[in-house]
Amino acid sequence: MKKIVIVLVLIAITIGYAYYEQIAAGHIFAHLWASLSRIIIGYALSVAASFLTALALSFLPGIQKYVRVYLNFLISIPTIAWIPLLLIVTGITNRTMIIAIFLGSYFAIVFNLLDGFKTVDKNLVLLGRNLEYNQAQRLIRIMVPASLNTILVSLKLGISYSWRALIGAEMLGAATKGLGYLSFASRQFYDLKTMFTALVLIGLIGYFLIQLLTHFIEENTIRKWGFNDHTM
Amino acid sequence: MAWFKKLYLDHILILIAILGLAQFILTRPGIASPIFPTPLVILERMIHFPKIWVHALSSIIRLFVSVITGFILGVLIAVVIRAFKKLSFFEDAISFFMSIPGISWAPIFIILLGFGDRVILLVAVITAIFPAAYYTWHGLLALDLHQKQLTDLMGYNTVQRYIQFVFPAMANYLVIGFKLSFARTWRTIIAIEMICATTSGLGYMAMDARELLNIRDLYCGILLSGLTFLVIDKIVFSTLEHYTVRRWGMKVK
Amino acid sequence: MIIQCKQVNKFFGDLHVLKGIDLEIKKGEFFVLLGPSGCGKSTLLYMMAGFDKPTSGSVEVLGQSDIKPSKKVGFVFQDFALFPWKTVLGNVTAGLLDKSKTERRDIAMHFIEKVGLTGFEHSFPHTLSGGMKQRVSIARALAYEPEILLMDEPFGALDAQTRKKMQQELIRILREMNKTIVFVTHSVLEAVYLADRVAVLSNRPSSIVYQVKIEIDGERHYTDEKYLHYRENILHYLNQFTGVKE
Repeated sequence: MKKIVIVLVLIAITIGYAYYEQIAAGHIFAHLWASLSRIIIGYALSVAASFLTALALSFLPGIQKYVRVYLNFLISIPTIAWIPLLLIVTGITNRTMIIAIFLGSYFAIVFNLLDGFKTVDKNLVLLGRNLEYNQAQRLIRIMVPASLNTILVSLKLGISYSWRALIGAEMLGAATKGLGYLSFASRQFYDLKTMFTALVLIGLIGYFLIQLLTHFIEENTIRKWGFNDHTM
Repeated sequence: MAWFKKLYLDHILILIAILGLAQFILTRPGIASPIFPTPLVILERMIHFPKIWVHALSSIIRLFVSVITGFILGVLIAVVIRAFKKLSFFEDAISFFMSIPGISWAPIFIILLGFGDRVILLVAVITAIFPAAYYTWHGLLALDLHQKQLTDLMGYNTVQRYIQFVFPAMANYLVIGFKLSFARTWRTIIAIEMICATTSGLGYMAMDARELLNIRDLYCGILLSGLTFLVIDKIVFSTLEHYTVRRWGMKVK
Repeated sequence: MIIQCKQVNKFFGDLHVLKGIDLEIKKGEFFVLLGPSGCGKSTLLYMMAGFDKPTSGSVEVLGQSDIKPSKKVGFVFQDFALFPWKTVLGNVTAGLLDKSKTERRDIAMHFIEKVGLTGFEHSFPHTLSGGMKQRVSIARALAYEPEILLMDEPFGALDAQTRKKMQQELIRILREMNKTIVFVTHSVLEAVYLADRVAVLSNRPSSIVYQVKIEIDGERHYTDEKYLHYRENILHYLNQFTGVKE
């Protein structure tokens, strides 16, 4: 909780500074909100879609093996490489950026979720059969909680990938608003102040998003259950 | 070469089937459009336009130069700071810097240094430093106290201690750090080539193709940037991992 | 016969694990499978639970040869296999989903008391000691009232002191319930202490090399003459067929 408060205070200070210095003609909050609203929508879509995909694939172990190969390939493509193509296909719209955010995290989350399901303690799986759990019960009562650790890691990974994809897209000219746009556009006027303000906000908000996930989910679940693991 | 055994025939057949299906669908009248070139068109482009491979190679060279430099710097930073003090805020500072996308450093350096290779390498090195420092730091924190006492007993000096004990003992952390540095730097390099490369690189090629509305090349770029990473990651690192940390029974991940 | 194995063979790929196992276990019997590590005794137990199938031969449990995992058979794992995200109470009710909420609770509390964990209903597993975790796991298996209880080295992960105590408690709990039990272990001491009957398995490919009925009246002590006699006897076969010394 302490970290979240500190980060929020830092964000507030930066915004205050931006208003005081009339950075972005006093419209810093509009740029901030443009980026934030995009990431919220895009990330929510990506999480929902990747969970559904992973669940569907967990019922199809035969296909999963082959899908993983292609997932591996799709993860390897830097999200930014899609953006020039998207700019041509969907144009300079919010849609382009939401697709970029989606592509940034979707494949990685699916892959990690499948990995998580695979590493569930075999005895817990056997126990589920012994207790005559049906498919849904096995999933809700065993698979999901037992792999929650990996699920959380993949969610955090996902949001940081998505954030990167969004900033990249905004910089490459998919937007006329947003923190990435602000930082790149100010380059033309040698406006270092604006650039640093945007950079600091990009870092702080990325950090804040990860901490938010960590705090509100982790503290109430795996910490309480005594899972000890910290990757990321 | 463990990866080679995994290339079973069924995978190859499925790949051919998928490509064939795509070829079939994308040539149907009504669906066929310049936005979706067929697999054959892309394949032909890759063969008849060898410059694509030059672009890829130039990105790969940048990648290796910057990852190796950045990784060594990152490890050194963590080791030095750890040697002086247990700075608890160091971890937070590093994770803050890690959450800054590499590409957002670009505008600053473009102003200071102009366009070109210097900016690309600088930003790529910066991207590579933080994951390396972060995992080295965690590795140092996780060192086994008993093993540490053992090296004291054996009278190691500082250099011997790091080479004989500290780095091997945290090899799994170093491997994770290296892989993460590698992955992030690759992404950053492609991105930054898009905004400030002047002559070569996969990112440069993509932006160039975008301006000319050359959609085939965009697809080639996407494919190559994924394939390059996949091949390096799977072959180089899996082999490296196989002969070090896995053989020592350490957990990676 | 509540459990019957006929000429059971099991291969894992090329590995011949079980070879021609013939077994008969009577209702209400405490049956111990004894053997060296890796000899396939757990595999045999998995077949009885329906987790695995024999390559050839047949395993019949409760008169059924096509065994599906079910709650007629309780299973206790060596590593406890508790749900870390559930409290003790939640873990014990895990097999009672077909009952109403209050019923679940009453049954679970009864068995928690039986294994001596009253007061810990709302603790999470990671706060408990190894012995207590295994008590939870036993309570969970007993709670859905299986006819047979399969135990896969349940005390293998416990220290010697706790292990001895758990053995005594297990005998006490089970004497009241009159269940059929198949218990896997590699400790001769444990086998003679607990069993009505012991079967000794050889090294891979394992077959049964010795079966003995343990007939000691009253409480068993590690120092009884009769006890030592059985122990020597079993050790003799173990040494001869597996080269294991205790």
